[in-house]
Amino acid sequence: MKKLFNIFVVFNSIIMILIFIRMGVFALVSRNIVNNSVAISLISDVSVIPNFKSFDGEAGLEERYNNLLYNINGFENLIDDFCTSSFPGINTINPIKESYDDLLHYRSAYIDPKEIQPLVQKVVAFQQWLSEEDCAFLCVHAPSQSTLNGINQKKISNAEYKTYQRNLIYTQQLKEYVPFINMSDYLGDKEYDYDVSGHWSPKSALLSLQFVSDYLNKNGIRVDSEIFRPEKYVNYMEQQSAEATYINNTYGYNLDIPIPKEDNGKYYLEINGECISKGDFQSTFINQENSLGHKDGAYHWYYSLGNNGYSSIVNENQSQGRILVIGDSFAWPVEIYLAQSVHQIDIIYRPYYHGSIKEYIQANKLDAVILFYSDAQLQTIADEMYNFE
Amino acid sequence: MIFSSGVFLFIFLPITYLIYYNPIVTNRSFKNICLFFMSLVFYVWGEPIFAVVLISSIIFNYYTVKQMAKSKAYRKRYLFLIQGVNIFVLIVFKYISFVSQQCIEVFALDIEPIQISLPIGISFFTFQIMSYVFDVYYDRVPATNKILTLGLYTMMFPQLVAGPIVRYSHICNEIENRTIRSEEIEKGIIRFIIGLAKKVLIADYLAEIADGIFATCGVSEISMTAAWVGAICYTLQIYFDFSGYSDMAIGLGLSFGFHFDENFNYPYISTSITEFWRRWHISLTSWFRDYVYIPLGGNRVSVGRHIFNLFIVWLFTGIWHGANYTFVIWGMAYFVLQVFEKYCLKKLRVPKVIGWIYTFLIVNFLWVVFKADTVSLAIKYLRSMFNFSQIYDEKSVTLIFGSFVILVIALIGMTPLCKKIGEKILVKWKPVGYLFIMGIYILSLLCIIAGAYSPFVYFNF
Repeated sequence: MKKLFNIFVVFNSIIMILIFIRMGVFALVSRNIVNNSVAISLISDVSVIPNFKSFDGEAGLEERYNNLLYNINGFENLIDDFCTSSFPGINTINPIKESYDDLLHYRSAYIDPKEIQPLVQKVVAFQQWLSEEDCAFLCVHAPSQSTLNGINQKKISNAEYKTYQRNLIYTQQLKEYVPFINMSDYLGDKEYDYDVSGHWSPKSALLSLQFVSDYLNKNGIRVDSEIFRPEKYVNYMEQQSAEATYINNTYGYNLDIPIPKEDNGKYYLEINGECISKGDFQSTFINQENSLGHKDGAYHWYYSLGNNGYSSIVNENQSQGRILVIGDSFAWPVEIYLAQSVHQIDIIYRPYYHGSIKEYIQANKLDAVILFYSDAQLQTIADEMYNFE
Repeated sequence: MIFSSGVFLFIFLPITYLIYYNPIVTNRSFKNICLFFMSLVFYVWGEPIFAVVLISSIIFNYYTVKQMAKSKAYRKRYLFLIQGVNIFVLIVFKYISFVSQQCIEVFALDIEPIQISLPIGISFFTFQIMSYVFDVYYDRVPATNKILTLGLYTMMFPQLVAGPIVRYSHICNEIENRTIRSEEIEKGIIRFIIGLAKKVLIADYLAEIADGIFATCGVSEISMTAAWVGAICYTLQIYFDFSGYSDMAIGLGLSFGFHFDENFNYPYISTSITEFWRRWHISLTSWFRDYVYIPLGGNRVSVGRHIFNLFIVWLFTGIWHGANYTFVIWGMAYFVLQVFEKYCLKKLRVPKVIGWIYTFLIVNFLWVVFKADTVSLAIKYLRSMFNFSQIYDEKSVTLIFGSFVILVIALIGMTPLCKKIGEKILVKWKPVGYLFIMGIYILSLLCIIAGAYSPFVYFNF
């Protein structure tokens, strides 16, 4: 009798077939053979982006050999990824793993500081280079919800606990060398600090601008910090009562998208060299129409900004101040509200910006550079995010 | 490729089973070719270039051992030549980088150190092939006339990269002529799943705690509590990791019709260091016993010579584990302890509980030396274990509560209790046993898919 063996082989073979089907569909999607709705649903669920090098007919033997090795490695990584992070139903599997962690009350309290050290070294080296270029530098760290939950000793998964630990180590190592604001010191234990996507609320971002403006003023960049006070804003969602009710009923909180009460600015928003919008604050930065129907409780659906390689906001009502923000999605509200007070904000999202940051800084006369990341970046694609070359 | 990876479990293993047990071609030669080819794929995956080293080693040993077997006058010379080349290959890949680095530091040379990557499992397959050479030399087995047989013996994927170190004399008959029994296939799969669970559900969890604490000790101070938790976690991790791998290897071997020797026998219940080494990494200790210790004269010699024999065996055991002073110190410590036990402690009648505590603590301390990257880190860590000025810090409470359950599971799992209960369940309530086995298999898979932390400790050796 070998029942168990048969079950084992059949079970694994079914998984293998599922993986191959998924890879096959993904290959078709990559070649745009199947329709868009399938493509969107699959691509949003697949983390791998295959990267193969084509063979150049004139390439030398060594180059061809290296390309071959590169492609073999790429193929192995592709299969490996479909067996793990792009596995069918991965979004259901992750919570099961976390439940097992919870069952064990498992906490790996110590994060290897060597994980964080290279990132800190890169930031410190970047700051030193900027000081030689006579450019002010500020590093702002936006805590993820996991970190705040960790600080407030709420129940968190082991993965969240690690994010919290990384935040602590990063702060501890960096604050000695670099002007640094960790917003976890200032954000409270309020549910509405964070939205359904795990991003902080625009109000939390506005709070961070109080500290950013203080620093900029100290460094001779005149910024009116008064305009970041919450009483200077109204909630855009009050104009969108149906959506606000839907979000409240679905997610259990009131989404607040602050727009200035006195809105007489003249803005110009450019993304990757193309003008996206212009006019006053609301018409420039708030998406008036959204193909997805504004039915989500996160600020992402309302702001015109995104994680683009390069964006630029020009405020024609301000004559001074040009600031480069190297940031992620936590920085979007910061960039928008800060634009009220300076002439130009340049924005770089590092993974999609293919040029050299240093060359960009040298070619443009900047008053300050702000590195504005959430602590999630300490883990996921840290090498890309912290590449300041 | 590693056993606890999605690629192995979802792609490689089903394909191998489907080919190996296909109902169309069922003869043994086909099965051997299938296993050889799949073993090559297994090794080449991730490190294609090092397959050249492995295959060259097989070809060289195959032809030269045949010559050695034929030759009567130059038999000994052949032995020295073949084993010299095998050891040379091992030295080049495993130790040359370390030796060159040390030379540069000692002689203050202004040159770049030699950097050679370590082919996975080189110590294991070199020792396997060396045992074949010795066995032919001592006429325990005839030299094989089929290169595929030697290739399969050396490269068979279940034991290729982390043992157990299988003897040619033990499986040469099974390569040529084996009977695959369905109940053994079943046993093999159960053993494989248990090994996988040991690795994924226990060892990996312990590893993350231990690695974090050791790494932190490298850059800052750690509390005494943290140091002890880290040391115990590593002690248990290395057992569950390595014995889990051995279980998987033995289980896979059984499912293909091969019987590999046991590699672990509950080492942490030992009441002396000598007993510990009879239960830990049995295939390595028996290799050194048969091919180094006994040829040197074993214990049937004078006291001085016996101590020298033990010294040589432990020096080699330490060096075998890696090119670092920590491994030499670790080996030498066991040499001193064994001499002490054989010539001093033997006369005393130590209660078993005391013996167990002494053994477990010593093994714990020495695993710290083994785990540390440098001697200074090992000393710093051992000091932290007795740092009464900082008994605990703010992380200690989290650490104790966060590791308590996994430590209790591991401490129970290191005893024969679970095996006894499991065997009874499988005899009395087979369906319940099956459900449990499939349950832990699925849980292990979920942990693998969710990207659990999963380094195999013994791949480095």
